[in-house]
Amino acid sequence: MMLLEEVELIFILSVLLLVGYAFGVLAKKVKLPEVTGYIGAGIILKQFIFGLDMMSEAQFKRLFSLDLVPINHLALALIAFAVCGGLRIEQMKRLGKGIIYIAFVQAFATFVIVAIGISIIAPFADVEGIPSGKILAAMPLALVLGGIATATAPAATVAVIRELRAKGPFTTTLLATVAIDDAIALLIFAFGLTIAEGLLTAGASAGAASSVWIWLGPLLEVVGSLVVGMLVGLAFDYIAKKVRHEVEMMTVSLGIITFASGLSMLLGLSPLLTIMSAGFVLVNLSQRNQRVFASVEAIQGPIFVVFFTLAGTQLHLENLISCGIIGSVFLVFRFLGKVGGTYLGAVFARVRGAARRHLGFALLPQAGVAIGLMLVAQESPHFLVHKSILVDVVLASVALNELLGPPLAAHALRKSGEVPASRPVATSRAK
Amino acid sequence: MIPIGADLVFLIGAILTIAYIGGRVSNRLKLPEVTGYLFAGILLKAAITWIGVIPPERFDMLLTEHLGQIPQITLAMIAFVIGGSLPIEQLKRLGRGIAWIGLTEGFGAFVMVGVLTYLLAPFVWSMPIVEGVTPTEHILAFALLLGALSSATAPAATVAVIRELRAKGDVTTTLLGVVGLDDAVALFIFTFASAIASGLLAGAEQASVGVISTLVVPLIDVLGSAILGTAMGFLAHYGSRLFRSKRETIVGGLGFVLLSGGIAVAFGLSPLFTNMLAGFTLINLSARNMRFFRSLEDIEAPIYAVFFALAGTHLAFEDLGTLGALSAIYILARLGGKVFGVKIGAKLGGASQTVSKYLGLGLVPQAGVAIGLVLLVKDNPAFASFAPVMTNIILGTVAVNEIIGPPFTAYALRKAGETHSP
Repeated sequence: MMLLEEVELIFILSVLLLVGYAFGVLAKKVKLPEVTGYIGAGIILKQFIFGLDMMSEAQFKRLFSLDLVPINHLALALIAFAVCGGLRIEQMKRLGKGIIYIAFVQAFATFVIVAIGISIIAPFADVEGIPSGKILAAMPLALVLGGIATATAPAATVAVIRELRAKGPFTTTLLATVAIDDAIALLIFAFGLTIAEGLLTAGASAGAASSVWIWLGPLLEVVGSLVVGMLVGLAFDYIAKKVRHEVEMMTVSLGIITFASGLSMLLGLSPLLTIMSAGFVLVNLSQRNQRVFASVEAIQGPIFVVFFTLAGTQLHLENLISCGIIGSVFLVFRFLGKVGGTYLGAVFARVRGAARRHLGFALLPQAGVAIGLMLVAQESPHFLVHKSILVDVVLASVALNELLGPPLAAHALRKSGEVPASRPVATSRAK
Repeated sequence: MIPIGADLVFLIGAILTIAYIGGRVSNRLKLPEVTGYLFAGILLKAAITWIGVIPPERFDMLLTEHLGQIPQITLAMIAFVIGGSLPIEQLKRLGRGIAWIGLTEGFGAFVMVGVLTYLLAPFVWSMPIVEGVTPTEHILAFALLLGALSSATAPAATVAVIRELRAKGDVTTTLLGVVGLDDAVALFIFTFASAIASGLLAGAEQASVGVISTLVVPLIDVLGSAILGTAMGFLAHYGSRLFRSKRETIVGGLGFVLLSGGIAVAFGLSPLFTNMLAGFTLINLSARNMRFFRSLEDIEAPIYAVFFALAGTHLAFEDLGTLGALSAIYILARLGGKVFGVKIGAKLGGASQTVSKYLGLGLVPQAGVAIGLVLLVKDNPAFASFAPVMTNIILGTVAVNEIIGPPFTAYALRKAGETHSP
């Protein structure tokens, strides 16, 4: 009956807010993170709309993906900013090399274990383009998927930390790992893709030449993002000193964050890394800059609800089935890589306690960055044959890890003992 | 690979940042922040066209299509805030004054602009000759419509100035009430005038049918919005029992405001009335519902900044040049009509001297409603002979009134002694 064919954005926004909010409350009742409730709300909303045939596929796409694009970008920028609001250098120094070890080892471990797992199993899984029994033929796909597996999504992790009001060395290590992981994932993926393309164009001299560029591109992207972010952070610090009221602070902060995010995208850089580096500079330049981070907190509430509920409407659960054996291998080995790699990194750095045993469980969520890397791999002409398997596997991983990741992260944070016992739920009622 | 919408995000960031700077400059010059936001929009448009960061066609598309929803969202919030600032105890005391002034300031502008246009227009503008219509009838229809358009005011700028100055008192409450009522009054005057004017131009026999049917439609619009708004107010009141923290109040409150606006739009009702009634119902059900309005206050600043800067990019000063004399008559006659109308209404409604003296100056801003109504004139084939001219006058004078209005409002509130901020 196409009931909602003519509907306006204002209505869609209100539905995303209210349905997301209601499911967030429900999720809390059953001791799940609110984020899981929002994502679940999105999944159900989509089923509901198509189940009752309320709007066409094209209309759905226009309203839910195209029109709401700025909110998505804004939410991601705010999340990246929030990640670094918790990364003070003094604190990180106290934690020492643990952070660096854990961040690098978990990323490399995930890359290696996923790549090995897939290159061994793919030749026997009847994958299109990979002849049975030829491990070498499976290498390119394995390397690219290994690279994608390293990516984590900061959004859900940050939202869970916020909800639980977690604070302490474990939380700081987690935030730092998530932040550093964004840069490492880009580089490892580029590395994987370069070798994969080299293997596919083996022997050709053109391959060698282009591989330099393939390497240089991501390196420039990482370095460029960090530099632009630092400049933005310096400018931000200067401007923030001149702002008098908290109300004005919110307008300015939102303005600079969105401006920097848009600029970064227009320059072909990574908006997440840019904003993170800006936030890192800002938080470490002066203690007073805490008010910048505090100023955007009020508006984060509604934006996050819309963002995650929207993310739920974009999840592709059907891919969990269609991704097949390769997908299962990817999911299981990524999990092992993240958990085991974190453990290994902690052992190397002689970090004991909660971080060693539990941190890996908080690193599972995967979303935008993974999808972005998948799109890059798809652009490469050598991966035409693997196009559908790439899509299936990555979307399945996003679906599963966005659903299971937040509860596991919440569990890990609780186990670390950094969640305050009495959350002020009952007290704020009296107003 | 540049992601979709990168330039849009960039533009939003630029708008926010420049609006903030505009607001600060405006502060220094002792002008309301709104004025700064509007100028920021004007400058931004000039800068982007001049530097060419974003191609002009793409820029227009970003503004009208992608950011076209922001006015609707902001106005829904503003209408809700207006409704929420009218608790019944105050209305009991000021209600009679508000009702009378709402009527008289609307009719005052209508009569003043209509009469002066009718008398003076032939001297400053050569009306096109239409067959079958006498020049007198033609100019009368033109004057009626222009008068009707002049009765509309814009609530957004008024609310923003009140917020900035933290104004509180009888003039403030009356002003909010009048601005809230004004939409309905303007709509009635316009439909009435438009029916008569098309009767004048199309021949007498159609006129009577037109008047009745065009009066019923806005009546249904107002009644329907009132019912929906009240229902939404109750729903939000009971729904808010779920809210356990400030963050949840923000999420839930914003959700309700957008929902009631969205439903109103879906049913072709007025989102402004609906949300005003929703806010009014909420505040009068329980004082605890104040938290709805407080929570909106926490997030509204950047939304207002974008809204007014966007409005600035749409202001059309180029239309003023060719029709300078008519526009000047319109602006001055409208101001005179409003001020004079307020005085009459204040007397009839038993409002205080201060209200009578200053309220009229607070009614200058004009924006969306006037533009919406003139688009109806444009759509009506009966008015084809003067519709383009009228559209240009409205677009040009909206620009002027939107710029000079907020300082007038701020001046009036300061003079009335109701401001609590430097």
